Amino acid sequence: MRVDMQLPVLAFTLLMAALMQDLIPATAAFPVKLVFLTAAALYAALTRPVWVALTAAVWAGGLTDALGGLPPLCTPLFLMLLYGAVRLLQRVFLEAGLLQGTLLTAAAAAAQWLWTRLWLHDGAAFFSLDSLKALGYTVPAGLLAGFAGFAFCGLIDRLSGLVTPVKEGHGILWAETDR
Amino acid sequence: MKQAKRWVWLLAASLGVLVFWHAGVGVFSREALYPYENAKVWLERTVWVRLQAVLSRARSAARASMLERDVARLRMALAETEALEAEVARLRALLDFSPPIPCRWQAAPVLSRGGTAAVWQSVRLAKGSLHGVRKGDPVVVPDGVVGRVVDVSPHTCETMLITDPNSRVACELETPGEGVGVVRGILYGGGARPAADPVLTLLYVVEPLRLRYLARDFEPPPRTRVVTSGLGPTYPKGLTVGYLLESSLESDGLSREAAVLPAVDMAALDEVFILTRQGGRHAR
Repeated sequence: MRVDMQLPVLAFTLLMAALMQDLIPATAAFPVKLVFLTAAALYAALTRPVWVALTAAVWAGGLTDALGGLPPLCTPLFLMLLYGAVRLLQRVFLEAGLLQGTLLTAAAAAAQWLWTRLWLHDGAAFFSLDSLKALGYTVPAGLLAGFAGFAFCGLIDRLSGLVTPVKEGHGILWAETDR
Repeated sequence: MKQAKRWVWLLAASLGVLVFWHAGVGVFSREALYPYENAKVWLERTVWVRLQAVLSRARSAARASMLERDVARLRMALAETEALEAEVARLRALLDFSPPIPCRWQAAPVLSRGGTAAVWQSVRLAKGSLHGVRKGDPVVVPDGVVGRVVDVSPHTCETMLITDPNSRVACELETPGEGVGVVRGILYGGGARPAADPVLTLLYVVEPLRLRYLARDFEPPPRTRVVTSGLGPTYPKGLTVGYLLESSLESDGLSREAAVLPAVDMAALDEVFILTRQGGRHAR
């Protein structure tokens, strides 16, 4: 594990994720945000050692709360719990592939929406039609964000040299080559 | 092992900063994104507008965009002048009234909407404490009131829109009628949702705002203009908030409640004006 590249790569990917998530607005046709920060945190959960992944979760959650006007520790706690769930499911999600990342982020986006509403004591919103519609929108938003986020993070890892692609014939998962 | 220890310390420090210095994290995050968001605004205003002019084979597109901004600024100045004229006339009748506190309108482009969570109805503007913006400053466009500043960093500020459920604005009805006097109420933000009609799903239809605690005995006619009353600490008097749709008695029967359509299309905000005051409350 090389701290000299882990830290700047992590900072850069989270900054880009925060920028994209902040710039792309929620519209009437799509009233939720694309959760690029959550996707970046999930990518770190699948490919990084435990302390790096937890730090990524805290930073991604902190940025989401700070830029979204949410109470402190709302999203960092969620992402840390999500990391624990991902590690428990590691035997299913063997590598940080695009498909796994996309599906995982879609599920995480819906769970994050529910968590945020609960944290804000907005329980009454669960039972309104508008809220159920918004919850439904979180799944395609998560799919988009997961696909783009995992693709971008994988690209940055390869460009920075943190991960070296391995031929499939070796039977070694590419995410395991540089732990 | 040594590197793992460093990450443990980094994680602990990050959690400590989030817990004990959350406000600073917000300021730092907004300032970190500001150069990129400002660059996007610059690209839209210079490169994109000129590209559109080239593609449309007309230089008038860029010129029209510049003229629209000039017209918006001039309309703001005109609205301020008209309000000043009315105030002068009133002061002449009252005589010993104190002079207004100096303040000025600052144009500010919109950087982003809704932040990263889209939980609150808010926009981020490219003006901050370095430009004299402070918490509580009202934000308007020529069409009407947009909201107020709720958080400020050196180069940016967060503005809560009047459509946010947490927004409250002290309002009154304009010229309600003879013998009625002034009819005042509190405007509650209603949030925003897509239209129920599927044909209009692409349009940004705002759920009407609620003007509560109106006098129960007066039924205001539809399309009555709702303006700020100037009684709260934030908005000066006379700014257009919206137009009344319909009214009904509240559930307890003690007052009347009305639905108000905001005068400003919040989804179409591109550039707004912040009223920055120089010491004390606003002039009007």
